[in-house]
Amino acid sequence: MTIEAPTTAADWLGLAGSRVLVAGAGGIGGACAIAYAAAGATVAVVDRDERTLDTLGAELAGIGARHDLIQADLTEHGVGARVVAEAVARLGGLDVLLHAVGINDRRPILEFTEDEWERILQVNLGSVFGLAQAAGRHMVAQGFGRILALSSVSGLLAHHSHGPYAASKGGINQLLRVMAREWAASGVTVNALAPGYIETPLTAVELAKPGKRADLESLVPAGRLGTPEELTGPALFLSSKHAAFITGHVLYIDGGRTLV
Amino acid sequence: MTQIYPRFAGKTVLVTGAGTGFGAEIAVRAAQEGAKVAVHYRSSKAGAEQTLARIREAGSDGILVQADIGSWAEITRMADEVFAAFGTLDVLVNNVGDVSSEQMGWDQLTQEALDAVIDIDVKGTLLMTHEFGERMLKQGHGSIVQVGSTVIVRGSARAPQYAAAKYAILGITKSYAKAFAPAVRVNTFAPGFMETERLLNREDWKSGRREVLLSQTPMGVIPPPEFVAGACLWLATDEAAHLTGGYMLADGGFNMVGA
Repeated sequence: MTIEAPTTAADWLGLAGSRVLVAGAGGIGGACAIAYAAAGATVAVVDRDERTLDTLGAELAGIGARHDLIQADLTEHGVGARVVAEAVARLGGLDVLLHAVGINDRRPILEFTEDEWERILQVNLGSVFGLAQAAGRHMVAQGFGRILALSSVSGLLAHHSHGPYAASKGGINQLLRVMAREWAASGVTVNALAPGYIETPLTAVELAKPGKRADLESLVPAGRLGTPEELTGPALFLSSKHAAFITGHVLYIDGGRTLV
Repeated sequence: MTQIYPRFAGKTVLVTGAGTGFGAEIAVRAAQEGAKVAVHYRSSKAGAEQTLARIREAGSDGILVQADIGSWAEITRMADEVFAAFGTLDVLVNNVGDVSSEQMGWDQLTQEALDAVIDIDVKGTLLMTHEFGERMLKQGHGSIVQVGSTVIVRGSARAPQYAAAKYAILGITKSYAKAFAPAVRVNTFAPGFMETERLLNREDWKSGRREVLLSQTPMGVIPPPEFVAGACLWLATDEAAHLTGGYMLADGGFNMVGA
């Protein structure tokens, strides 16, 4: 088992021709879909919102990327299997799954109803189970695969007003680790990307509040917020042959946020 | 899309303990990807010369630097030599480490073995990070990668002092990552067992330990060091620009079993 020295730009990642399913067309998911396409992969993107899908579709078309758009609500039971089957049919197979769907509702725990709690858990964590289980079933059978999901520094730190969100992200970490353990011998790696504060549609409203940006920046040793593009390098790396021995890991991409 | 190959074209990289094992593979891999490499050794001169020859075969170039990294004075001298030769230093890989490889159980601890691992792993890594990090701060950029081990998750009943030293590296990494942010990043790379010459020659490895560890590695492989060298260097690339103070495991899932 060796890795040859890289020879060309396209060779380095070895993702040319890879078949990638990205869940979540906005923010980090969208940026990663474009990066996978730019690395030569064919990409299917699933999102609930058709407008977000169309915007990303236009961007992918703009760089001449072959791609497929799938509209689906990932919180419905059985939808994971259906989306994976559709992606496999359209892409001709499936090598990589990136799950980047998430919502947040920043309120103290005492203010939540059980319905609101369940909604966040279902969108953020339940959809990972459905989609990754279906993708894992396909990948274990083919003897190769890469599964990634977006966790968060909130899966580790106790952020005020992040109760359900933090629980969902901590849940993702452990769900992925057990998947990694169960599927490792089948050549399927499963890892989490855990960003700190990133400028995305999910954080835009919060960042627009007076003083909030400066508050958050002061908590990041790097002195700034991250961009969705800064998640693409780690996502593509963990999808590549170079990360073949990395599995069950939660990789923090946070400018040092977890140090503070 | 960022150009990702060659990841280290025009860059300079110092790898400590590059005369043997994992350090040598990191040094050669950096050269394959375009870096000029400073090959550090303490006593493995012949090995270091061989590493430099492999660097030149890969079409790059480098220098040899000798130092005992337990001594701040020697580190300062080595830093002078590296910066004099290269002008700048983009990447430091603190690979040197002592694993107390002769010790087969916790009850065989000696004062000498404890002092050696603390001197090399803790004092050496801290002083290297301190001295080179300060110079990187002055030049305005840099990336430091500490080579840890999956032992930072699981501990070691064989040699507790080894685990203690590697845990200390996490403290060094976090502290200096904070101190040096945002100009200089500091991260730990934590590989699992690799089939280096040192491991292959270890007494317990030849008498059953290999099979036990294989059975505890979900991916079912104990890889040669060159298999993970690229992942280690990834932490020093621009793709990892927003990672600092953290660690990345590459152990085939070993940390998940029994941690």
